[in-house]
Amino acid sequence: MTLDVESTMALAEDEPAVATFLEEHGGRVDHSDVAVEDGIRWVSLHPRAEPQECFVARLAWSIYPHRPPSIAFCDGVGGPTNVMGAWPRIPGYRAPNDICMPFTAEGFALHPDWANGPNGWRPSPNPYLRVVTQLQDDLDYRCTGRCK
Amino acid sequence: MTAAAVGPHPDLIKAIVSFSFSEKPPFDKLFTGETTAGTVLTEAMVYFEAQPEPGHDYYLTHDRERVQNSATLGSLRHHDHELTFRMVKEIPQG
Repeated sequence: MTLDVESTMALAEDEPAVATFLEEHGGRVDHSDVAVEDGIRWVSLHPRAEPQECFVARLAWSIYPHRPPSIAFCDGVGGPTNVMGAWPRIPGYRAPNDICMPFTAEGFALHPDWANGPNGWRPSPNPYLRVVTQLQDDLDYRCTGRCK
Repeated sequence: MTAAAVGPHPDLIKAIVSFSFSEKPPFDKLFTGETTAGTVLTEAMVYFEAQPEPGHDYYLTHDRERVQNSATLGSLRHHDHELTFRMVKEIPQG
């Protein structure tokens, strides 16, 4: 799916803050020219307790910033998403399929009731940063290792 | 008079709290070193209009460590008079 021009521009505008946050936490964001148009980003993250471990999350935005991204962990940047060992063990992260929490497309699809109330998707401020922050916090405070 | 005593508020610590769910700029306020992180969290939640609700706990982090509400600002700071926190909202899982 190709991202529309407005979404592409909005995503690019919000990305520097994400890159800064990731750098501060030892991570990084990657994309290819094709992936930019497709709204896909690969985010490399390191848990605080095990900084030598690296988890790569694939974020696929359909409409930015108005829809949550589809998120899956993959076996390296551009790698497959169906590898158990690529996923962290975190409650709500259902390796190797999806993340059932109110910051992913998959979570909202399974729980339409989340759309309203405190769990509803917020298009501002900078949801790209909020999603990446959520992933980092989950790795830092809720992760119990790597799936096998 | 020691160098540390020079200045308008030598015993106060500036707590700065950011919250990724809010449009507002970070909360910042001067507190004494005896103030607990729980007090800072409570004031930050009021500032950010974050409502306590079932399944939505809030906590502070500092230097990538979760801060216990009972910790005092004096115990968290090292040499400077400023502490930067992130307020984290725990969200539910499906």
